[in-house]
Amino acid sequence: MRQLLAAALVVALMACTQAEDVARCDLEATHDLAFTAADAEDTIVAQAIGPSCDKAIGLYVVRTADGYPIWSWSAPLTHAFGDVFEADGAEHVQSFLDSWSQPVIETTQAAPAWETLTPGQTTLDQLTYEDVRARDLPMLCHFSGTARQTCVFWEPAAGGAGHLLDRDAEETTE
Amino acid sequence: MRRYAVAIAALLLSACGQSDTADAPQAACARSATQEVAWTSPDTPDVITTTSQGPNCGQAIVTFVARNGAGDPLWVFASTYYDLTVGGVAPEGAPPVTGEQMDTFLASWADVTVSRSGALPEWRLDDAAPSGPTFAYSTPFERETYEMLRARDLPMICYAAAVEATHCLVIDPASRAPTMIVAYGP
Repeated sequence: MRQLLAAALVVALMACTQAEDVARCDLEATHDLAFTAADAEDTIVAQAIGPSCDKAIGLYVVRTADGYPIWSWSAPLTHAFGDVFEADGAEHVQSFLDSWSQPVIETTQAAPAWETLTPGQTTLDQLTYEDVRARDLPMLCHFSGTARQTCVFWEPAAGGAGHLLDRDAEETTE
Repeated sequence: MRRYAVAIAALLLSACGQSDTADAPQAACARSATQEVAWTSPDTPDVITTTSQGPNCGQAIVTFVARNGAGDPLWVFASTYYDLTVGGVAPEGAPPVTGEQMDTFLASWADVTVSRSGALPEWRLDDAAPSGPTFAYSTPFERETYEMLRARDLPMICYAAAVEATHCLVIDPASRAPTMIVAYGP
């Protein structure tokens, strides 16, 4: 009977090993922060989803404490951050997600003046951009590419977040 | 004893299949739909996968992912279920969304067909953007590039990006990368 038990264990462990060989790259990191208000309990979930880590997409979601999604961003990880992840690089991807899920929190007055923006840096028109900037609203900036950040602002009147601008930033994902 | 052996093996097998995300709150509305489409290759179909996740389906984030036959991601788009079906930000007290409603939405969203870029409206010389009889169009390209891509009559797929907005994708013949050629809506 011991032999039977041992055989069952070996079979089960072999099955586990085979499952690991074809393991998907479905990983995530969660980070709590105050974005929508000073005392808010918002949550960021940064995810990698794919059949392997070199073929994963990245999904970045900000939710309020009530669970409402207020911002989402997505891209194939290789398109945004380059061919830096190996197929079996789960540890590397997890480290990236841990870092990615911790954005920079500022206010919109930290955004550059309209006159200094480069074409395509914002999708807002000048009037709206300058209004958002002048109101000094909460601003969250997360990496959306190599040395590139996407910044979104919280509009309390609408109860939603909107894209403010993309900006160059020091690379911290490696 | 044989039963014990089988039970132990079953326990081990179930344990090795668990992941850190299994109990995550966003898994409460974890649903998906898949559709094959011959877009980037006539021989090997691409795969469109639409998914939802959230603490409930009314608060779900939904994703549209296109992968080639080798599994490489070509395109991904994420939004909220509410924005794609009603528009804007869900108010408090919005009606709940059932799993069946989400399944219907995801299946419909994934059900893209291949058309050709040559069918897109012309961008006339003096116009600010391409203009069609029904919808307003916008493109990230200059007129010359847009007209070149249109003239190449490239295979194109279009997906819903909002209640009244559709995005269309082609494979850029120069970079071999997927790109959005046009967005349109009322």
